[in-house]
Amino acid sequence: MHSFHTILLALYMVFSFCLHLSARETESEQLKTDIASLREALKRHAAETYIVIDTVHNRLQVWHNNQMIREATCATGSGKVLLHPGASARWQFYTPLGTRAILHKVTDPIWAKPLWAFVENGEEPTVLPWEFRRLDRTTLGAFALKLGDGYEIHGTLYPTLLGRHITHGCIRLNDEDLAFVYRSLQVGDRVYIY
Amino acid sequence: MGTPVFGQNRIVLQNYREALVLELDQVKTSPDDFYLIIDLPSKQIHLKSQGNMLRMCPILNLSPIEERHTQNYSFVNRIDPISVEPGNANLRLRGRLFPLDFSGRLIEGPRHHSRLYFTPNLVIRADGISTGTTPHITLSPLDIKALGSALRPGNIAIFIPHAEANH
Repeated sequence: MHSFHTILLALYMVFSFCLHLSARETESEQLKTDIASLREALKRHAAETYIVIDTVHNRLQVWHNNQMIREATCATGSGKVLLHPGASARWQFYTPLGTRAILHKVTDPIWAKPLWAFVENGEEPTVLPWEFRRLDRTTLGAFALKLGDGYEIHGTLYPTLLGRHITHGCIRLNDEDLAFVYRSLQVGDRVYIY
Repeated sequence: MGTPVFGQNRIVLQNYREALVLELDQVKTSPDDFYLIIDLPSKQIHLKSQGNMLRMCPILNLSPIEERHTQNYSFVNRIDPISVEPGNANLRLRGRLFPLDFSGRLIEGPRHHSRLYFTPNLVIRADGISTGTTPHITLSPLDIKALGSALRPGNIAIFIPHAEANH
């Protein structure tokens, strides 16, 4: 009789343990389902293709579906300050940090030199915005991706200077990387700069 | 972290679910902000924005962290090698560069790496910088510099503890 009770107790314990395990298993499955649905919800906010620019180390990355598909060396803002002699104008050449979007994509861009470009070279600034010597067809390379406020991702005449903080705020790339970025990204795609 | 033992797997899953809830909330409320995911089980810190991965930083080392639950930390400030002592106007040390290491020296220290301060108490720092008893996470100097450039005061860091910290 005593052994019968012991067997019953053992069976009860095994049964309870199995129930407990099963409950744990169900809970884990529920957690996995929750995680999957939360990830899906998060994915709806995330971008499919985007650019990440690390201005500290002058690296540009193209990401697609959470995979980095290209990493390139770029050049970013120097942080230098330029003062207009005799006037109150002052420019600081830094690359803006934060989140931006590609507003336009341009092939064979023409650079309409701003006032600081003349001041920097000690030249007399143009009076009219469409004056011929203001327009430069070579400096920006084959493509430009406009990020707003005059900032762009464009090419360079000086690929050996990539990897340095030397620009006036734009992001420079070499020809191959620029062509890849131009092909891979569309207007509206996000650009994260830190 | 070793192989999860019985029950730990469920705790890890719970922590990840809570972190995803916090991240989703962050993405909805401040879509343009950068934020961190401090993922202790996978020994990585992720810099993200709008749910997009921007940078993955491996954790090189960390001190014991008492925190037991997944929660938001808030970025307070960073001290760089070029930071100046803030609160000693008119005193002898006014305008001195901020010392980054008091161990072995009184005032001056190695001026190489930044430190990132969070609340509740947490410091992300490079190797070789003393933070006393404050809980800290060690990253490579390159990663710290990049994270320091990305974060603004008030940005959040979602902290995911080790499974064993929950018990």
